[in-house]
Amino acid sequence: MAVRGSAFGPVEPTATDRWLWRAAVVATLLAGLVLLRHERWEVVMASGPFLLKSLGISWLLTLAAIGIGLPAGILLALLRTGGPTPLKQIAVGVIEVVRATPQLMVIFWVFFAMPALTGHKVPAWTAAIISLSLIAASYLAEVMRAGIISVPRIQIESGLATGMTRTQILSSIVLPQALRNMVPALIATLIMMFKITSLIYVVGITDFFRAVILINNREFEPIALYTTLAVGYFVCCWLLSLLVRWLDPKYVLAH
Amino acid sequence: MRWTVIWDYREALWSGLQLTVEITLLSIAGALLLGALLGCLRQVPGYFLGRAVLAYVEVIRNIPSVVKVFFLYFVVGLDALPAAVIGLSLHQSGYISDVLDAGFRSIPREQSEAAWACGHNRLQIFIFVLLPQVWAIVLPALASQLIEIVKNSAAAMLLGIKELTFQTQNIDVETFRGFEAATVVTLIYLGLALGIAAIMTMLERRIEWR
Amino acid sequence: MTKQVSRRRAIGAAGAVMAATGISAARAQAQSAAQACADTLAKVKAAGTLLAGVRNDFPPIGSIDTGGKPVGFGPDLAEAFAKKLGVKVEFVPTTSRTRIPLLQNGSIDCEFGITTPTIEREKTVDFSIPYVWDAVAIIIKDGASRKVAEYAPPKKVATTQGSYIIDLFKQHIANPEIVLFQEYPDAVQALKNGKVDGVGVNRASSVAYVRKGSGLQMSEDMVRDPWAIMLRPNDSNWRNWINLTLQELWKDGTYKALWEKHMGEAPDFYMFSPYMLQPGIK
Repeated sequence: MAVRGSAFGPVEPTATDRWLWRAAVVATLLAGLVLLRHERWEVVMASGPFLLKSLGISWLLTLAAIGIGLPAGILLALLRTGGPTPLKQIAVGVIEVVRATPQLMVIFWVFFAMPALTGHKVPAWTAAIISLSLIAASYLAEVMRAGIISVPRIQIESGLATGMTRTQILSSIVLPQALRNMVPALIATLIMMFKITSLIYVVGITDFFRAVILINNREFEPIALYTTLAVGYFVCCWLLSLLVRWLDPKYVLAH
Repeated sequence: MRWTVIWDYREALWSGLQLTVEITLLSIAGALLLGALLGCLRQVPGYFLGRAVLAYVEVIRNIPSVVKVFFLYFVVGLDALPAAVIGLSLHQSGYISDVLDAGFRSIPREQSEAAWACGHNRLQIFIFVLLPQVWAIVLPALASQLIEIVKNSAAAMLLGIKELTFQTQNIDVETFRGFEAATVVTLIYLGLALGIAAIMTMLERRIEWR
Repeated sequence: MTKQVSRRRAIGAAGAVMAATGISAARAQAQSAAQACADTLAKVKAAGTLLAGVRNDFPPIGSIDTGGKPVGFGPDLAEAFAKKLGVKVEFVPTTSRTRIPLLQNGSIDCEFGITTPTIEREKTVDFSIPYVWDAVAIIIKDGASRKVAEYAPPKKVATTQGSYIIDLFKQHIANPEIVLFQEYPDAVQALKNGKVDGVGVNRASSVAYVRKGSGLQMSEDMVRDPWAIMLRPNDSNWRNWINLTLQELWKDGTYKALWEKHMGEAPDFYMFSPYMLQPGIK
């Protein structure tokens, strides 16, 4: 257990303190169970497989978004840190605009822009993955920019001195270290993207959020179902955030 | 592409903008109040209070804001606008308390120790030494949190509130000119974000007495 | 060194898998666009599968059971069609926003949903003869007035954004205060919580909400509303076959049996015309 700090200095919990806290947590959970015991939980149980499947779809969207967004983000970060000026400005523009716009708006924009620009109507999955990747790429670009900058300049200079090309320096020296330094931030972005997939609701894909609403439509058990929804998201995100904290205890999740 | 359609809808977009600003301002007030309260509570030396606030922040942070807003409207039964504002305030208060906590920790401890040595008690140190300094430190981080509130206000459209994102969707549904509408509204949101950033920079300059 | 190399390879492989997942998911949709062709009947027979668009948010026309499988009148009818053709049926979920794009890019061959054959839509898609005659009314709480005109302000009525029910409200109620949600389940939940006084919806889909004991009932009808099976344009073979099969299913009683199974009562309309089927139907 890490020692908590405050402005007045470290706070050392005694053993009694810790056990009292654990007792309080257990008591709160038990109180919650007692209060909610009258809800129709069998509805949730019966829909279990469907809910799990839609949770998997949420994860699939998240991973796809990161899978496309990470290379795109790295490219944007490289353009921003060392590209030629017109490309650098375009990269900055894309990153800042996407980061300052509501994610719901980005999803709508992509959903409308694709048919407007290509002339064809676009299926929901494509629009969803493109918009999520766009969001992921802009946040990851900032993460990777911090990572790239964190590699000491002397390494780049040594690389140049020994005759390596810029591409070799990038791929063998800068990027691997940047990625390794930024692993906590990358996982934090993964958590953020997972929460953002709940907005895909508007496009019609049956992710976890929409699945709960569909079941509620038929069964009318909002308390049990929405509690399951909240708990589901909480468990997934919290476990990942524990991973981040294990990797880097000082990391502060900002989104 | 026909951009003139956007001009036809200027009244709808204006009323949408008013609602967005209203939701944003109310949520900013709520989030700042609650976040400041939590951030200060975390500095209290007791173990319980600190852990309780941390637990609250963890719960709030790991649930998407849309889920919170839906929960408040459909399960708790609040009206649309209160549900949206309270949901957004709760959501952002967790992050703001983090920001304040980091700010408090970055104040050199020598100052508190010196005040302690002079005989002030903890409360006095908190009010007169730490609190005034922390606001200057956290203003930049606070700016990005406030911009997050502007972005999350779009979730209010799912409750039927006819704010900016709702109006965009409406224009597409009525005229099939969603691309033009979305582009214009994105620029409006950018304007809001830049406005907040500008206000915060102005505040920063005024507080520059360090 | 070897540990770093193998770890790098592992990371590279994982990254490639994730990127491939994303790109292939997007491309799978695009590929089906290439298969959209002008002779759907031949294509369905050759492929051995009928791609049927069904709703999963509109019981009893289309919803999902607890296992996530599509159930309802639409899916059942689609299966009957597929059986007539001797092929399997594959269900593709559609929503009001995605039904036309999915039809145009070939993800579905026909849509058994709740699409009204408006003149506006005829510009982009074709329709079969109406396959369901429905009505639009307002879901209200038990004991409330059944007269539509009484739902003027301060009472609030709700429906989904973009629905033509908005126009129906404006025609039947003076200066209605309309609250727009993204989905019907949200609107009905708002009604149950007392946030709105009525939800404008099609009578067929209200069956699921207005069950005994749900505390809800239907107002009087605002308008009668046909639904048709949506098809790609300029495909007479396919459209003729759909119209023919629909009337054959009516004649041999399959349609009425399915309707009673899902709606709880016999249909109060006829197929093709109020008096007779199309001349020549055997």
